[in-house]
Amino acid sequence: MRFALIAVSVLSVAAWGQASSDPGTAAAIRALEKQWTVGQARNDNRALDMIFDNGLVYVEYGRLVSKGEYLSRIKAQPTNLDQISIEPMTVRTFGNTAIVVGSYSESHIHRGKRTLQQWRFVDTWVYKQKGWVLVAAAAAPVAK
Amino acid sequence: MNKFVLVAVAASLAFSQASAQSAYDSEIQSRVMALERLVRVQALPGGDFKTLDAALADEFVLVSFEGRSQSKTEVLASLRSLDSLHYVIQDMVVRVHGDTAIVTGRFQMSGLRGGKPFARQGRFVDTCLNSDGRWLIIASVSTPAS
Repeated sequence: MRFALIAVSVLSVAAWGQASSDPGTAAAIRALEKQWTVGQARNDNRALDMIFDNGLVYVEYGRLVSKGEYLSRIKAQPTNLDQISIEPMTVRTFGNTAIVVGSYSESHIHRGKRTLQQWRFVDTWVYKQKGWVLVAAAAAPVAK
Repeated sequence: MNKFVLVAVAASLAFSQASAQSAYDSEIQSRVMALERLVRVQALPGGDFKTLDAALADEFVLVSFEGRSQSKTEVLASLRSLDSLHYVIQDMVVRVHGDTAIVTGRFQMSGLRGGKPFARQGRFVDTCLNSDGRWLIIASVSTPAS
């Protein structure tokens, strides 16, 4: 969904909560969010496998999918069909846990007509042996 | 012989470590499940704001069904503005990642706000955190189910 993309424009990023005293962690998390976006755009499952925890839960278009299901879909999808713009996000860290709240706009072209939908998301990252990994992600469509 | 004994001891230690981890996760799952039931089954429909205040971290953030981001204060104010709320959950699952737990499930809610009826059904994803031995909900997303 969100990352089949193509243009990424990070307009601004704010960090607060404990992140204000740990800008390095917030920067690392933002970099991982970007890796996710780029990895999905390139159908790079190997890169995504590294940043997704094996127990990842992802709510995609209202459906609960596992890491395996998500990666299978990414692998099968063509690139360049959708366009995503990542908008402002905040990163809050709580020790070994980081919460990212942000929004993105997703445009589709269906039968020659472009539609735009904005989503607001929460991603949860946990620091494990190999570094930060994504353990949960979910988004809700912003009411028009 | 000595090598065999070492391997056996190592295997035994690994097994007991795995068992201890499993027991820990199971304990945490029960505690987080209890927290979620307290919040979603009792406090939400019952309008128990004291319990809600204690269960939600001060930094709590909700991404609502309508895609709005709300702070703890805003969520509590929004709940106080309801005339009534009926709330049901199902398919709740807790996944433990050390001191973090992810809770997924489905919900159905209906009620009255300002005399007008409303109804929603969808999925929720909560992030819970162990804060000095006390589990708190630090983030939540509600989204329409497909």
